Amino acid sequence: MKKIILSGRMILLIFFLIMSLVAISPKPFAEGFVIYNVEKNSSAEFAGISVGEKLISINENLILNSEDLNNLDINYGEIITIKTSENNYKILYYEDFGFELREQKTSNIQKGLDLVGGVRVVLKPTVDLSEEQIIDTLDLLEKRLNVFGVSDLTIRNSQDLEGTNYIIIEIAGANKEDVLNLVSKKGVFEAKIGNEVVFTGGKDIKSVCRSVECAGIPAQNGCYPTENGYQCRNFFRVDITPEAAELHGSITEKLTVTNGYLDKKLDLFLDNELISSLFISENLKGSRSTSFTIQGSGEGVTEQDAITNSLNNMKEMQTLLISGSLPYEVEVERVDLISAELGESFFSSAILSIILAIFGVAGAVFVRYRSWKVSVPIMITGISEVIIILGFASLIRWNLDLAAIAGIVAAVGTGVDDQIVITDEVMKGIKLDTTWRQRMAKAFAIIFAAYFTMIVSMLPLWFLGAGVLRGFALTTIVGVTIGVFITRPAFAKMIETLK
Amino acid sequence: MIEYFSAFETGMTMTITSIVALTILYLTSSAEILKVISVTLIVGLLFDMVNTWIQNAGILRYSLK
Repeated sequence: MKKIILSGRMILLIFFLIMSLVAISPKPFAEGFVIYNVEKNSSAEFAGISVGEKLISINENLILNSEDLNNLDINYGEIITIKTSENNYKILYYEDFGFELREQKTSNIQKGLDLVGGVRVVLKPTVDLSEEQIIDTLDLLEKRLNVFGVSDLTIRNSQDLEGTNYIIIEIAGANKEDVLNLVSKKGVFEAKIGNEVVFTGGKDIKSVCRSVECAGIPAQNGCYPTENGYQCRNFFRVDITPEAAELHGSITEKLTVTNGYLDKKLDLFLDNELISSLFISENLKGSRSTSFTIQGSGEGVTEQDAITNSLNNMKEMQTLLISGSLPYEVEVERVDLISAELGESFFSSAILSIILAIFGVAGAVFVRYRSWKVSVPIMITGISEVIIILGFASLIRWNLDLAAIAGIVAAVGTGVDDQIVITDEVMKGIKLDTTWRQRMAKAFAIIFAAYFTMIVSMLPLWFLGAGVLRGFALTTIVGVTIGVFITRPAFAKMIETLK
Repeated sequence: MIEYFSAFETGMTMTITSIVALTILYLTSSAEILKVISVTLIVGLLFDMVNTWIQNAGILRYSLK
């Protein structure tokens, strides 16, 4: 026994196992929510809530799961008490809490979209772009989504076999359809007086106000009933650069005054579509003011819907103004709304099934060789492979989805096959009276041939279908590589020594 | 002939252990999708056994002669 554990190959296996467990860092008893992504200028930020605090209760109601959150009865504009692991806070409830909650993680393993739900958007540039141009576009999209407050996202480019570039954005969490508008718009914002552009989104904007004092729904007459329900106005202040203000001054100086307003209006265009037209009051004539108020609106069947829609429109507009326009136009190629029908528990039950299957394999192997000296090492090797694959996945923050689980099954499956080859070569070697080295060389020759075939066959999957099967390809390649270089040599050592 | 038989043995052990593993996966997994995957693979493996016996073994035997 001592001989096995002290051998180089076993030490390597044990080292990787420990590293993997550290990377996964399982916390099986964690429950409740932690705070992440506190919104800038929100009431929560002013109260001093910071990322990473564990939420304990809201208004004295203990919050342990999403049901507790849904049962809360909070009204717009109400002051609520939030108790976290660090402190008690009082914040103003204003459409949302001003921070996002994430379920306390039970491990570092990131679950894929089909387990937690979310949206996958495939974008295609309308013209052929170089690698660099694609990266510029990716950067801007990521900035835009971050400004909007989406944090659980992966964004990457991908090429299909014909060389067409795609941009793939995956956002975890439900109800993220509203980001669709955000990623598909080129987002060219222009404020014009007559035909002259005064300022544009992005570079001419110094800051966009997103706090309650200078953005939101006007307190008076903000919402009013219409034929179809309700409409709510919204407004927010933007500060433009002095150069843009100078331009505004020189243009308005030339205008004439009628009825207290200038004879031309400030027209706001988004992607060449007029979104609103503002009267300019006479005291702004020739003004070099750097502050503007931009208005918008939103409709809904009920007043609450109208408020939500109006605030969403406002947030979208603010985001586009801050991030500026995309350097290149993109169109939405495909949108997959992925519901979490498999459920998060799917993952743990799948891993459990895989481990049970490994026990089954050990049983079958025991029947074949009539010896625990083969089945126990096979079990140890199989389970180690699963742990090391999961460890690697949590280390590189790889999203484990259904395809990845299939990849784990494939990797462990070929692992078991290889172990049987090793065992048989060893057994045969005993009959034929060859040396260990010869037997192992023969077994590993078979294994390496199979290994390279596997890798070559997996590579096309990496690129196929804009990389949707990437998860499967990657986990299989990683799993088989771990098997060939780490676990199988250790297995051979165990068999060699025990025999 | 010994070589011949041991290759058969190795191959059969691989296939049978795979079938056992997949049957367990089929019986224990709660998710429909895993059941479908495992059933497909079990059927595939069963046909693979028959196929290897009829086809590949025949070809190998022919080429060895």
